[in-house]
Amino acid sequence: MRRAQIIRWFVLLVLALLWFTPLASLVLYSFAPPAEVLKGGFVPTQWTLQNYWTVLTDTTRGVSVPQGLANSTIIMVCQVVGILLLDIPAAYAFARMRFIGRDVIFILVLATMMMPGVLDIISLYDLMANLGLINTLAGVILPGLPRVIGIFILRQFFLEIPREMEEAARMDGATDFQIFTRIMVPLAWPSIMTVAVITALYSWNNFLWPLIVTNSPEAMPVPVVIAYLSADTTAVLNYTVILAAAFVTSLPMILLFMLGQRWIVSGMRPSSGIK
Amino acid sequence: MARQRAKVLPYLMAGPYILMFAIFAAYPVGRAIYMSLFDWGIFGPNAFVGVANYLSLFGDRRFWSSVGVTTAFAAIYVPMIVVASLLIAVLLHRRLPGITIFRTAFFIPIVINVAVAAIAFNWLLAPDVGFVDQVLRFFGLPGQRMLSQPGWALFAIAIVALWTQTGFMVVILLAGLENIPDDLYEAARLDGTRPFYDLIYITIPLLRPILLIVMVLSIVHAFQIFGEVFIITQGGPYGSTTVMTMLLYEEGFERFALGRAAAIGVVITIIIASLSFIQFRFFRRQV
Repeated sequence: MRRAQIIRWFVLLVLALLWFTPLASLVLYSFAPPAEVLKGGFVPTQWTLQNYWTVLTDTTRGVSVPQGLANSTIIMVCQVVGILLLDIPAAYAFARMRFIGRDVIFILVLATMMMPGVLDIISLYDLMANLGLINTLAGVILPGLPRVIGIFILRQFFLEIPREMEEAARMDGATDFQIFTRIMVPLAWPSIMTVAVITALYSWNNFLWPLIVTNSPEAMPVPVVIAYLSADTTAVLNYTVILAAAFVTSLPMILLFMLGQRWIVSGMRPSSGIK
Repeated sequence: MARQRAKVLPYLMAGPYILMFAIFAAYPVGRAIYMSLFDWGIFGPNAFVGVANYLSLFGDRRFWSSVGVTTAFAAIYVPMIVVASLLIAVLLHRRLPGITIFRTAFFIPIVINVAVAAIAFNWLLAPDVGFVDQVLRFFGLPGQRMLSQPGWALFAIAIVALWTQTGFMVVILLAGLENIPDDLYEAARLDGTRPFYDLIYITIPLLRPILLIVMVLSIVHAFQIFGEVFIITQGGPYGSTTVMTMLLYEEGFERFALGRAAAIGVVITIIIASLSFIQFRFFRRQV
């Protein structure tokens, strides 16, 4: 390696270690007995699985991590499936079909995407209260369904498919709907995966809306459960338990990261989304 | 018959999405503005008050304090993340032994939610026994108890936001770097320039549009910062981290002044929209 490369390598090493530190420390101390917290030092001297046992069995703090994991799983599955079912046909129609108001509606959809989430959080809460959906899983799930990013990514993809492909299929006697289901959807598979993965991420990690719409364990997803655990002042004595809860609830997303990194990255590139 | 169906099909395909969009996205946005014009309590509207919610906000010291705190936060956070993500993206751009592990270090916070990030940093910054205070002590410095000091607490929140968001910005910048042709760097190398000059004279000018996106996204993020504050400092110490979203939360869900809270949401939106607009105008002229 040349000198410049060696310098680059060392700068990266230092930065990467800095970036790993918060999670590394969290994971290490999630395997330590509670008393280790008060000892100081960078690595625990004793190890235990007790914190994980507590996290997965104890519900005495009023909120429960297993319930949170179940809620988050239901919310994620419903939002991923719901968004795909809504977005794939709609994006196709926006990209390749003509209907009244198409362009106006699409501009409205894009304009709403630019609005910050805090704008409608209050009115959404009021709407959900009127619909009787406070503290329900549906109350968490429904406002996530019109997310624009999926429409945007899929529409972009459908726009790029050449007309000839459609015309060839029509010559063979395929109907519009068959062209969509038999040709377009299979072609769009990589974009569909991207939308599925980034929706799963959003769904599992979303914090502000679930915090507002839930206030009892039956509907709380994991980030809200974690927030409640950390706000519990008696829990200060058991910080290692909170660390274990934080790690356990992050594992599904870390797994998703390892399996689906390329979908995550492609969903975040400017060409395929985000403005 | 076939023609008829062809005309109905697009409505069937786009209809369900448009319906969900209308109910859960467009309607709430309109209703937010509507609510901000009412004295609106937990059981619904009490009275139409026009712009009184806005006027009372502008006369409220707590509101101006939250504007100041949010602006200070943006002033700390935005330059930090632009510089850090540019540096990291440039360093990650070319092959190196172990680059996959380095990438993972910066990308993994993308999948970590704000509550977990807040827990991790709460632990790092814990008084005396936390990692940061221990490192300080190792160098013979006093522990800072960062989270209980007004000046430091906001900085700590910015560090948490930096940690969670940098990976996302690096992804965007890496996509931009790939579009810069290698010939430019090779030509520069033939002229005998140093890597630092490459950065100043080739990389940054050509990345300008992407850097603009990174900056706008970061400002938008800064003015909506919430989770980190809510979990780590709850707006304290002494209101020094009570950002505008925190005030919105307190007005809406602790004092149940929903009309006033909606007005704060509208104000945040106007600030974000104007800042984004100004940046696009300003930078477009310069490109």
